[in-house]
Parts: sequence; structure tokens; C-alpha cells
Amino acid sequence: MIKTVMLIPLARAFRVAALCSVALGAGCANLERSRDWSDEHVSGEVLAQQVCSTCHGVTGQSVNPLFPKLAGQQKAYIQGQLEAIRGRDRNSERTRQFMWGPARFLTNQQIEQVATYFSSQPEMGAELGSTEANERGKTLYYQGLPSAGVESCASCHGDAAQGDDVVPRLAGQHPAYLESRARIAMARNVARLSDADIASISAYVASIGAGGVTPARIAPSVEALVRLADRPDPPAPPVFDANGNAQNCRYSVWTYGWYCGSFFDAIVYHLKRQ
Amino acid sequence: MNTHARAWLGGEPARRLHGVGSLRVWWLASAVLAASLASTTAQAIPVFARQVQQNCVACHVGGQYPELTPYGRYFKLTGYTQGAGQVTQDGVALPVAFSLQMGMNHMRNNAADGNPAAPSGTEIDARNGRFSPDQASVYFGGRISDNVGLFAQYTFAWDKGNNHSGTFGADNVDLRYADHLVGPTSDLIWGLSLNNNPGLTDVFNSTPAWSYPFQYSASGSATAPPVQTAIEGFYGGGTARGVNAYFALDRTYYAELGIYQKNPNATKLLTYTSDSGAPGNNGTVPLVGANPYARLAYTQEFGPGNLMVGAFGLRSKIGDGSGNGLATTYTDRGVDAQYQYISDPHVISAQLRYISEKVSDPANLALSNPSASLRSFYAKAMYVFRAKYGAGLAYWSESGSSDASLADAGNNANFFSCADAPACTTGSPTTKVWIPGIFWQPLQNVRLTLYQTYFTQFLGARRNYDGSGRKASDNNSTYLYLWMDW
Repeated sequence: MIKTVMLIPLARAFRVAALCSVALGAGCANLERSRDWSDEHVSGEVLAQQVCSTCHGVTGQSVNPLFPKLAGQQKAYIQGQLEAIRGRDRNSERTRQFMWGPARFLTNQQIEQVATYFSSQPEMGAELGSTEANERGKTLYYQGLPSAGVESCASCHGDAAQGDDVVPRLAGQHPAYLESRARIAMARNVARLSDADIASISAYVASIGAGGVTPARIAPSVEALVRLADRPDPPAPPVFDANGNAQNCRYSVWTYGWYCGSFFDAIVYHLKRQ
Repeated sequence: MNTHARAWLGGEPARRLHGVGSLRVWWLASAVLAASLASTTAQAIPVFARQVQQNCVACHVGGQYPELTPYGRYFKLTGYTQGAGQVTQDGVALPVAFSLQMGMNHMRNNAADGNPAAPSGTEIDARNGRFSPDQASVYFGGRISDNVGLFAQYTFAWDKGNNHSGTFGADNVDLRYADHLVGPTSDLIWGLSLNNNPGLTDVFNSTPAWSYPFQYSASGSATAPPVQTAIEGFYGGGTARGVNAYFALDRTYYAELGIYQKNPNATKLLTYTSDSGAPGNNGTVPLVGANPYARLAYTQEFGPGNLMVGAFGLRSKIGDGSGNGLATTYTDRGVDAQYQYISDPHVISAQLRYISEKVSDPANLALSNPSASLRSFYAKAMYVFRAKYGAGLAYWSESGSSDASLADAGNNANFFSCADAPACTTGSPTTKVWIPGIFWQPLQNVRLTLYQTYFTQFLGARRNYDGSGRKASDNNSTYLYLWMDW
């Protein structure tokens, strides 16, 4: 008897399913929970929950580093990337494999809604296991590698790697994803870094925010400043105090990092370098 | 899973039973063979690829169908409904696809009398060492509505030893209704499935239906343990009608319940076969009553890895098709585990499975004894590089109580007999085999694979298991096959 009891509701459900099948969706549309990414009537929020969440997580906290965390990511960045993917301007192998399909038919409104959904989620959390001290990564993130002409990452991505507008948030992102993405999106900059340095920066950035702690940026080392000063057309030579600290150097996102001398000198310096 | 091709999953034994007349076949069926005749499982379904416009690696581990990634599992659980509709601004996408598997299987000793030194001229496998087609499939599937999707595969399987004839029929059919409820911090997927063989609905690759090796030759040689538990060996595609309900919570907890029955005419397409000689109705396994199937799994993702531990069970009451109510009851209980490391370019996939089977046969329909037991252990690991190159290794053993019905196999002239194949004299089901393999996938829809089987024990013995001097290793087979999808 138990078997019979179980079968009856199942059979009824299948009758409904069969009717839906016959109707080919007519009258069976479920726009609130649709996974049809070619349907312009499905909202971006629904697509985020039903489709994007498959890899990126319902709250944007993806687990597998093949897929970036989107939780708390800059809205403009998500929006811009989705538009680039839809237009196939972003065409790395992984993007082609996973993202060209889902983004193919998205409308501008859906993209904006998807971006809103993920950017408004609690910020991506750093892994507790990745908070070990990484002085090399920290130094490179905040100072760059002046001797090799590598700019500071913090100059664009911010002191807390929080990103800004179209500049993506990096704090708490998967380090493996940061590594692979940096080689593509930041190819010119990281080409002058060793693999170990790229890994160090990625590991450091990924750990920012772990345990709710935002690390204080570090001051440029004297050595780095001297190297910077030795480069052609430095904005100004650093002036050191008795303790070896440069007194006339400061950090600015406008100059992509540290500079010594006046702000005007720094701007001229960077313009010449372009 | 191809009923008609993949003997060890039941289809071939079912066909052969007809005319044999002996009810022992259902024990022997498991017995047979597997591999022997069969070809297999076509799980890659380009219809889905066209629907989602993604690479195979999105759903399949390292691009190796049928193994599913977490995304692939989600796609299946949500009823194949994710992706673009069939009608888009790009035009109309026909929900049809095709596949072809062909290859060459070479068994070490192909002499039916077990004496390679003085062969009788009778071969176990008439196609031994020759290239030949194994099976061709046509697929229908994809999203039908926002909640309803279909995976349907119908297959033409070439007959053993004959390149010009075969059987066309239902292989895998899975019609689903699914919904995905999303809360602020958790989500629930639930669904219903109408399908045609137990295990087809599972989303993990440690259970028998979708496990490595993914393809078996249609030749007559033994390429897997000849005696298997019911859930491993009795059911192929298109052998029963199943109605299942399932849910997945937070991608962590999975539970499924199903009821399998002999397929009635109302759903004939589930088990359609062109083989008029098939027993039962429409080539189905002659199940008696409602047979429960259950599946539980706990899975966790951590970084690029994910781990699953689970349990499953199936009770199969199998009669003789006469409707007299008598049946042999096979109760299978299994535990399994799966680990996947999915990264780029490295991918690792490993599975473990243990099944304990109790057989009750008071009417001696299948056994000489009123009861029997069988234990199956399976372990496999696979590595894939850049979704192009890979290697796998499996160990598979079956062991259990001896039964005279196995030794009598040779008396069933149309069956896997001592007269024309690796035979049996001990009545023991115990077989142990290693299955290494390498593969190359130059394109995502083309795969070239080379398998090798190494039998360390066959039907209870390492040597002379048939009384004529045949060794377990005489069944060692090399199988090279090409799998193409369109």
C-alpha cells in the first residue's frame, strides 16, 4: 500500500509535467525561476540566482577558483565585463569555454541587474588560511617594482584592494584566479614580474580583509625609492632623513603609485613615461 | 547505457533469454557479460552543448563525458533547462544530435575451446581484432519549458559478431520537471523524473550507470566481470520504467527516491526496441511489482576540489515474464565516494564503490540455491591534462557465494556458455580485473581511447576456470575505440 500511496502523487505530477511539455512552455513559463538566458523577460536577478549562481554561488562567493567571486565586486566592473563578454571582446580561453554562451543574449537591462545583484552582496571574504604574512606580495602590491618599471597595484585597485568603479575589487578574490587573470588583463605590467612575484601579490591581495582586517599600507622602502630615483627622469630625488626615510615621497592613485617631489613633478614624470 | 549493446547492464541478457526458457537467466544475465557484447553509454549529448553554447569542460570533468562537474550536476538536476531556448535571435536550433562509436577489440585468446595450441576453429569473438562499428545514437533533448527538460537517446547497436545487423531501441530516456528555489543564503533544487533505468538519474559517477570505463565493445569478448550485482548488470537503457523524486539542498545534501516497474504499453517509447525477440514487454526487465530505488549523498566543495560520500540501494524483484508472481529478489545496498579536482590544466577524478547484494530465490527461478550473495568493489582514478590527454585506471572485483547455476551456464546453448566462450566450472562468480586506459581528445566531440583489461581471476579461478585449461588472463582484451558526436 505504501508503494501505491507514493506513486499516486508522482504520477499526478508527471501528468502536469507532460502537459507542460506539450504546451512547450505556453502557460508553463516560470519567469521568477527561469534558467532561459535568451529570454529578455527574465530579470537579471533571476538569472543571477538561477544561472550565474551555478558557478559563482548564490551570494557570489564561488568556491572553485576557476570562477571568480563576484560578491561585493564593483558594479561598473561587472557590467563592463559582461558587456565585453557579450560582445566577445573579452575572449580568453576560459571566457570562451564558460561565459560566451550565457552572456550571448543578455540585454543591457539584464546585465545591469546582474551587476546590481552581485555588487550588493556582502563583500567576498578572504580565506582564513591565506592570511599568513606575505611581505613580498605586500611590498609589490603597494610599491610595485620600480626597478622593472612595474607600477604599484594599489595605485589603481586601492589601499584595501577594494577597486573603484571599473577597476575591480581584488581583496578576498581567489589567488589562483587573480594569477590567471593578471596574466591576461594586466599582461603588460606583470610581464616584468616573475611567476613567484605574481603568485606573491595574488596571495597577498586574496588575504586582504581576512578576519575583517584591512592591512595598513606600507611605506616605500628606501631601496625602492632610490631605485625609482635612479631611473631616467625621476620626478624628484628622494630626500632622506636621518633614519633613512624619504621625506618628500608620497603615494597617489593619480600617479599610479609612489612619487617623490611635487605632485606636478610626478604628473610630468608619468606623462613622459607613457 | 545501451540495453541492446551493453549486455552487462541487462539488455543483451534480456534479449538472449528469450528462447532459452530457463529462468536462471536472470542470474546468468548478470553473469554475462558484460562487456561482452556491448557497447555503451553515450552520454555526451551535443544538444545540450548547443543549448548552453559552452565547452564540454563546463559540464564534464576535463571534458570527459559522462563524468559531471558540479555545474553538470546542477544542469541535470535542474532538468536540462538551463541555457538558451530552441528559438532565439540566432534562429532555430534543432534539438537533435548524433553519435557514433566504433573500434577494435582484441582478446588475448579467442579460441572457444580454451586451447590456443590446438584451436577447434570456433572463435569466441568473430570480430576479434577487427575494426567494426559498435553503436550509433540519436539524441533528442534540452529545455522544453522553464521547468521541463528531456534527455532522450535512442541507439542502434550492432550485433555481436555481425557488422550488418543490430537492434534499434530506447537507450537512455529521462524526462524531468525541476524547480530551483533560492533564498538569501541557501537554495533548494527539487524535481521529478520519468526514466527508463535505475541509476540513470544519478549525478555522480561512482554509481554503476555512469562509471568508467565509459564504453564497451560490441564484440563477444569479456571486458568486465561476467557476474555483477543487479544494479550493475541487469539494467541497461530502456529496461524499466522509473518514477523518481529528488532534492538537492545547498549543493550539499542530495536525496532521491524512485520506483521501478515493468514498463507498460502506455509508455512504450521508454523501452522501445526493434528486437521482436525481446522477452517481457518491449524488451524490459520482467520486474514484478514496484521496486524501490534510493540514493543519498553528501557533497562538499573546497577550492578546486569536491568530495562526495553517499549510499544507494535498489531492490529488484525479477520474474520470468509469465505473470505468475514468482520472482527472484535482488537486494543491493551500496556505499560510494567521489573526489574531483577540477582546475586548469589539471583534472583528477576518483571514485570508490562497494555493493553488497543478497539474492533470495525460493522458487529457484535463477539460482540452484534458494539464496546467494554477491559483493562488488570498484575503485577508479583518472587524470586529464588540458582536457585533451588523459589516463585512467580502475580495479573491479566481484565475489560471492557459488551457485551451480553459474557452472551450468554452458547448458544454456544461447547463453554465455562453456562451449563458446570463457566458461565456468566452479560456479563461483569471483572475478577481479584491472582496467587501465589512455585517451586523446583532439576536439571536444571526438575522443580516441585505448583500454586494456587484465583479469587476475575469472569466475573463481586464475587458471583452468573452465576445465579446459583456459586462464583468466586469456580474457585480457585491448579495446581501441573512437567516439564522435555531432
